[in-house]
Amino acid sequence: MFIRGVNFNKLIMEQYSKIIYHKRYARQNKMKIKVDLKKCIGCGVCELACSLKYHGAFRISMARIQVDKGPETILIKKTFEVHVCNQCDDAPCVSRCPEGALSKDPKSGVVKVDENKCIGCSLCIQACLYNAIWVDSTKMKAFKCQLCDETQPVCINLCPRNALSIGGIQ
Amino acid sequence: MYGYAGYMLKVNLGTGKISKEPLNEDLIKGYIGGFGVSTRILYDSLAPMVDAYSPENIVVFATGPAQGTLIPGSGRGVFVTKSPLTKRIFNSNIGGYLSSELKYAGYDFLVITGKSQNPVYIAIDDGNVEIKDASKIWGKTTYETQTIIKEELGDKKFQVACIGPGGENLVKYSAIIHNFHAAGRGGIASVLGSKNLKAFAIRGDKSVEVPNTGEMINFYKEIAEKCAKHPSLPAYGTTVALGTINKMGCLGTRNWQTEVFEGAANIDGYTTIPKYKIRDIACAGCPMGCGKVQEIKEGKYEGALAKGPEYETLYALGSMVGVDDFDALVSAARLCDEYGLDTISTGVSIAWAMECFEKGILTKEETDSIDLKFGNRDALNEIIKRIAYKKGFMGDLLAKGVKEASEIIGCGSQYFAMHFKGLELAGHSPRGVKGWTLGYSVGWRGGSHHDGRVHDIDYPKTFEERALKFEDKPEIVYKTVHRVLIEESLITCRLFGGYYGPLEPNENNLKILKLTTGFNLTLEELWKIARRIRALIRCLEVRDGFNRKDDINAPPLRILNEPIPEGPSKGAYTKPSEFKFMVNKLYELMGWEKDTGKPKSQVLKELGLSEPKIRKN
Repeated sequence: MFIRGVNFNKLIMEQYSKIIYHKRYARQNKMKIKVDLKKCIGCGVCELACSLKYHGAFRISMARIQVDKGPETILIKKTFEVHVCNQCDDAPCVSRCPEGALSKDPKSGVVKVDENKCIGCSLCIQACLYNAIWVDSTKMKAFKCQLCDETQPVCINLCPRNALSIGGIQ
Repeated sequence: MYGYAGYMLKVNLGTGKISKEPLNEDLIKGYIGGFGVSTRILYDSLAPMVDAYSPENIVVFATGPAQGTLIPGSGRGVFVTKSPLTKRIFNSNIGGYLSSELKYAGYDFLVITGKSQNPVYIAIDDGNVEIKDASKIWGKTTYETQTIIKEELGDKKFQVACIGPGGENLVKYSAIIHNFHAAGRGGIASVLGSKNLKAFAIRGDKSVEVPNTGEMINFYKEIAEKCAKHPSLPAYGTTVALGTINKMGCLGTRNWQTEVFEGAANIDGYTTIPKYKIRDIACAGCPMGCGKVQEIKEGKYEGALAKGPEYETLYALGSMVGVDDFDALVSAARLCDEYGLDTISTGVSIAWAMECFEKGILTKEETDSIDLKFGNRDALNEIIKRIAYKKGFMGDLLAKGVKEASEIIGCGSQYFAMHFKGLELAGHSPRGVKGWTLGYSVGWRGGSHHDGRVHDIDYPKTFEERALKFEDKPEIVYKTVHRVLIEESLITCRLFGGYYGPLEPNENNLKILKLTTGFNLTLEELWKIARRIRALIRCLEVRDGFNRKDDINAPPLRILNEPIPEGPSKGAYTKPSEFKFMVNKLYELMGWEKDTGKPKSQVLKELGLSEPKIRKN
């Protein structure tokens, strides 16, 4: 009765493709930002905190964790969508990168960007099904969550509802 | 410039001219931002007596220094324009992500002028601003519009604010909807509708800088900790206020015929949240998360989903119309959101019509055979649809707002037309909390519960203190109204009043200003800014021909003549003599002339303002 004008098929397909992908990769990883979507209130404090840490100012388009806050996600899925790197083992972004700028740290399991090699071609964005890697349009370098390089991630620290944590399988 | 994006975006819909102007520093020093600066913009560029629907009317969407930062409660923005209901300057607040996104796009203010020939929407993609054709989305509901615009622009990250059929059809109390949030009051959406502006969408890539990031994080943590300990807001939002206020005997019921609602327990948050809540939502950067999305999962109204309904909606579409069926209430709230209507004004207008119907002033012939009795839940849902499309006699009548409707119908129905200055009364009792009679009457918006926010102070007091005593009220109103003006200019949420308030402009306001802009002001200077904004608003009112008479005649006659008939606040009402005393005392504190209500010349001089030109009719 109430939900109109929303493309159901598109949203459902999007979700399915993610689930299939999730089954294939997610179980293998060790360390990543885990999001409890039941607790998330969509305040975007994680985005603000992240951009503050890496840019010294509030600039949420440059945050390494991003929240989809549109009403359509709530109306259909009843949750927010949080995009943050899954730190996949067999990461498609790593294999897709033509310059070898992305690599998985064998010790911590974190997928890292080598800014010296990155040419900002955006192929990694196409490869990632979690929508969790972006390219800085001014510097033309990819950026993504690197778990604050093994320090306490600032987003976890400031999340008001403790929806974020470090952990394995989501 | 710390705390500001530094630019003002001006869009003329008539000529299609788009310009970007740097912010004037004097304006910021004198008025901070948000509502303060917008008032000055309106004062400088609006001719006196301009009609709200005239192309000359200006709509400002304003942000303050707090937006886009980690200041808790900063997810607010304000629309400022002339209201078709009150015919005065009106500020209507909205939550969500709109205001912070505007700053990320590089603008502090969006100033919309002129009138477009065809339906359009404005797309602000970082630096690029375009006026786009909206003929395909004209007529769509608010959620549809938001989705379609995002699809058309090809980016989910756009934040869209739009009007629904209510605003398009010039319903005088239509609301602008963004996400699940509304700039509800004052009919701002119909002003956009009169300009043929369906929506605007914003996405930004720029940064907002603050002087000391470490201190800001500490401040955020301190307030977030306090929020987590709050007894009701994070868990229940404003929904539980209904039960509390009902227990005090101050809950407007059946068009304020009484102030105790027997069905309150059925729609109170303590009953509904455990059963219907599906999740919490928050505005940008807010640790409180007071928004509760509730969904009806079965029955006739299955699928109805709304944020809240918040306290004001529970009052207006619940106790006011005598509906204690939560399913029907959520459905009504959802319809208001989809059509873009202000729930408070919608509910109060319908309640007025219901009392008319029960008293025989309106008959079935006029109501288009709707059985408009109190408590008729289906009639409530049906009439909302008719109001949005101005369908039939009843829909057309109620869409004018309760003031005009009661003037058309007459037959003594003005006696119970519950509005102050044309704006329908919010859910805070002017009888049970006497300060409110004064707050509503002298406030520029009339029936808004944000002008002289006395209940933060008065609700915890005893019956004698809040409902019978009147000597101390002018001072409370005087202090709170100036704090509210500072908060509306910094733009912080009123629900943080407990932490940043609750009475007068204070150190916390100063701290927020310092954390965001680096300005080092003293309390006296802050007070002076607040007084300057208040005086300027008054000058705008005076210029438009309003004076003391409009303040004195503002309260509905029921408030001044009829004591509360039952319940814990039985017998309370505002006697006309007490009311006059309070108004005179407040005028004295404000420094306004007793006979005209104009700010005194020496006050204007002290605040650096010029004399308003008074038009004589």
